[in-house]
Amino acid sequence: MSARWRQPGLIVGVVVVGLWVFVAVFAPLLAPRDPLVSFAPLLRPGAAGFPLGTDLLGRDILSRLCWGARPVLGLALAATLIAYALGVTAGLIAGYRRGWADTLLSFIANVILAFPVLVLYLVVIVALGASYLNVIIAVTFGSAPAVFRIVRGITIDIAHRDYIAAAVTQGEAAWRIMVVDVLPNAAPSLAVDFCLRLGYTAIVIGALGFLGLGLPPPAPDWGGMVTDGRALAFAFPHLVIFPCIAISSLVLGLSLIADGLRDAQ
Amino acid sequence: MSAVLTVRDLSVALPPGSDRPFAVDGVSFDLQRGEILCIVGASGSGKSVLSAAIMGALPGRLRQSQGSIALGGRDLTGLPAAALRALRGDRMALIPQEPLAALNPTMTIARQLAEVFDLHAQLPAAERTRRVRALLEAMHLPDIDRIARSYPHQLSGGQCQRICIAMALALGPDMLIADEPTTALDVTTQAQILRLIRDGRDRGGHGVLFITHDFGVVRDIADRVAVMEAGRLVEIGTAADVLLRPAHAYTRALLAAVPKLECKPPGSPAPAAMTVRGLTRHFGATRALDGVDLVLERGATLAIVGESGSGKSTLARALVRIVEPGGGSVEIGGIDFLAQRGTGLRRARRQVQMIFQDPYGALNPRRRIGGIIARAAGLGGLGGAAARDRAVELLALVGLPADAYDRFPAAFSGGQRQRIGIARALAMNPAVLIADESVSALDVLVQAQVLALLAELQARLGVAMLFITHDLRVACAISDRIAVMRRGKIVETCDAATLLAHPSHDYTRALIAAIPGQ
Amino acid sequence: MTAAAVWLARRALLLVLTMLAVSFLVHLALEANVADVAVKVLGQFSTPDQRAAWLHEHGYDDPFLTRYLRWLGHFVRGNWGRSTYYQEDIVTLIRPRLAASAILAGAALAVMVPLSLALGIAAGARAGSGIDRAVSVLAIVTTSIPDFAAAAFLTAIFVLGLGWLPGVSTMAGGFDARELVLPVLVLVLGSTGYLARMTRASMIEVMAQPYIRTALLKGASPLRIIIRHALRNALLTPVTVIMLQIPWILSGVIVVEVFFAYRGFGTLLYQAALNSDVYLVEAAAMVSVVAVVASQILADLAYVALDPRLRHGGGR
Repeated sequence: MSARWRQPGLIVGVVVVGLWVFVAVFAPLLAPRDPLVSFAPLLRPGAAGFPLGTDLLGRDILSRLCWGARPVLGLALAATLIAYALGVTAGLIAGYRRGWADTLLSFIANVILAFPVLVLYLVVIVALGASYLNVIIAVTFGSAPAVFRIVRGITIDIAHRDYIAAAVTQGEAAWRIMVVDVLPNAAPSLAVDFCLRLGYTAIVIGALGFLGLGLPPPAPDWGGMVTDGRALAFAFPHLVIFPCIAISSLVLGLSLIADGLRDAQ
Repeated sequence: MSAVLTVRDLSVALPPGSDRPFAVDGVSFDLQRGEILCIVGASGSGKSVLSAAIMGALPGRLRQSQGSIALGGRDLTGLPAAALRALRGDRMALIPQEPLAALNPTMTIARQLAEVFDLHAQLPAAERTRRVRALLEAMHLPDIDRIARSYPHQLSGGQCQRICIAMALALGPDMLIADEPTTALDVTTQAQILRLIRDGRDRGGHGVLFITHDFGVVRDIADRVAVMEAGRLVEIGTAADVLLRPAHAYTRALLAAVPKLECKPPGSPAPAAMTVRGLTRHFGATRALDGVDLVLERGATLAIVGESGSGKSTLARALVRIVEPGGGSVEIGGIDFLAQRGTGLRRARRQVQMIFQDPYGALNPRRRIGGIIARAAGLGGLGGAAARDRAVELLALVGLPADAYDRFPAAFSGGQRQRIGIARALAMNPAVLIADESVSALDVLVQAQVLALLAELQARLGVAMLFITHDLRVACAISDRIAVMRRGKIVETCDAATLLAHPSHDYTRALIAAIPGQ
Repeated sequence: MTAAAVWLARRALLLVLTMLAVSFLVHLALEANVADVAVKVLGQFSTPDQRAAWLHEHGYDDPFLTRYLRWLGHFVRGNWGRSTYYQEDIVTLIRPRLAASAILAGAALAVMVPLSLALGIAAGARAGSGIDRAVSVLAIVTTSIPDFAAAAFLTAIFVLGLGWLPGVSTMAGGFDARELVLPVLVLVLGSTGYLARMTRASMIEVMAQPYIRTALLKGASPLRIIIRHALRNALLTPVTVIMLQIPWILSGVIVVEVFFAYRGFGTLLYQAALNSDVYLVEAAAMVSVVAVVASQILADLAYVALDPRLRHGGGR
């Protein structure tokens, strides 16, 4: 365990991600101003009282960044957790049982994976309309098959080990073998993938915000802030750069954690 | 005689934090022209590191810390990389342990052989092709044109090893290192490969450094023998001296642990614990089990002996229903085991338990030893506290300390893990114990201990045992009766002594003839 | 050849089934609710009577399955209907946009594939070396930056800071290669790191194989070992990974095209989605899935070409 903490990358990752989680949880206390209230428009960074400046509508960018951590982290976490619940269950069953259940589940996964994520989401948006819930549904829908594939592959590998055969010959129930024998041995690889997927989901949510298809407009949303500021970016690059730094640092932190966990295995 | 290889005071340092400071520790010896010197030792004794050091190809984390290696009088230590490369494959060559893995899967055999000539001799294309053919012929390979065009995966293990030998002998080296060259092969193939290596030496006159753990092979092939223990060379001498008059205590212990072709006296007849009738299992067109009949008596041991592909492992797995049999019947304790389904099957499973081959794969690395055994006892019908008591009792029975209960499998050696596997199998009080190559992954000393433990436990508990092995010597040492298996069928079953003295089937005769070291 | 042929035939059949399932899903999502379709086509302010008449006229009284099969028949024959937003035939609308995106994606792949293979092989040939660590750090950083953020950073540097490149890629004055540089660079940054890491992992695995040691003990030089023995085996994984990366790259293409206002397939699909242009979304989704499936077929063919174990059956 102690070896894990000797990796600088992992420490940096934990600090960065921890910082954003802290910011998201305590946004109401940390944000100096109301993110929806207009002050003077287009103040540059360093202006008195507005360390990161204000946007076109005069809203404080620092406060919007703080509040914007909430939807990104919250939606990414929710969508990833749901995707994991579905993907792990289906992957364990397909990988352990094989046969027709595997054929069917794998086919469904391949059908969904044939869509580029954003195309899948655009189709869902046209069909259902844009909302918090639909963002989660669309992202989960796209992510669960990928989780399924990984879990299925690991399960097939582990199911061939002799300790699984030993459990079978002892008359252990199939669900217990999956939960007690397979899952804990898959956990280290899944922990790595979970961090990567969380970052990847944050990217997708950011991209949806950027395309103006994520959250309803007034909400502070990092991707949306980039879109709003883009027309004026030539004169006021800070409108775009700060939210980009925010999302990139979050994803980089998650990648560093994943990388550290992989090396520690 | 002149020394082709001189090793003086050679040490190879292990990275800091290893279990000992040196993988090879102050080793000195000479290899004479035309002789076969066997280096014998248990796994981890440093014999493979020694061969890598001589070839100048130590893995990155190891380094030669002192001593000298000279090939034909030329010091190899400190030689520039290019000069060393010029010697490798030309003046010194190596025959690997895993022949299939040692050949490039995406290159034809002909190209892999031709590469040796490309690297060390500028030959015209026609001459090169001619010499590749000549090499293949010298290896007694059938249908040379087809084999030259083939990729490794299209050949058998024995054929791949012949290719590797051809590659090693291509340029008539001064020294050949054979690193456990027959360990991955069947016993009948092993005999052929040993003959090929000996014949090659007779014709080429090179010195052979033959690394092995098997004293039977040593007896067959060695002119001189060196014994390694924990990186040190503890004894070196002529084959006759070392094998018949070992000077060092470790050598004596190793020799004593080699299973002899001695049979234990057959026990008195007893009622059947398990009766198998017409068991079949096909994989596609392959008949892995093609109508197997056998009777296992209570308190007795029946050995199933066969080569790879004979179906013996499929038999073991079909009998515990990890592999579902295609047909036939298995009767245990008055019930038809194959007819059981669902909960009935799960309850009936406790009657047949298995000890697995690979000690490293058979225990869940994330569960504690006590938990593993107590769970088995619990599924065998004991309550929580009783199951834990049973686990403690079984750990003592298989000779493990009580503190093993709270530790994870990673804390134990291969032999200890195999003991844990035995305890787990016994925890359910099975009527039948199936041991699938359960000692073949172990070093000879540990193997002897585990075999003795199995024999003792069986005598004490009266459990019937089906012992599956590729090694007739091991089969003789432990079993009352032996069944010989080939291509999914039992070709012959009788008591061990009769089988050795009067084999009735040709295949059995071939197997017995191929046993090394007789 | 038979084993590989059977394998390819099975893969092809599976991909055809996948396409059918995808088309059914797309149609189900977009046209199952007929009232909704009428609103999207005729607009918010159409009267219920107009909608009912329109639905009746366009065969929406038929059951869903009938409509699906009819639509599929039309689609296969190249009759993709009219865009409600652009008021144009969809095939003529899509064709030039697809060509523009193909240029963008093709240019990105042409840079990305050789670059990532070279980096991955250099890193994996000597694991733990300076090159290896540099490639790893670079890969983690670049894969962590979302495409739109990378586009913003690059714009800040090359357009606002240095003034070397144009910030939009509308190609208003005809094709201009300079306008292609930033979009391509963003796509390259987005996937090169990931592909390089996959290649590196594959290379490390291959370099640890016994046959690499055999080559070493034959007297082959390190360079020869890498080129003659490791490369072909190490490329098996990246070939698959590159093709599996295509959907992700296509998503990136949409973002990049929107960011730089590049008039490609991605912006078309995006506009269609924004304007609820049902038939155009349907057609565009199908086209992108066809692209993905085609890339998978290519991956299978490459795999068969590279691995003799597939071409000549399982052997023993």
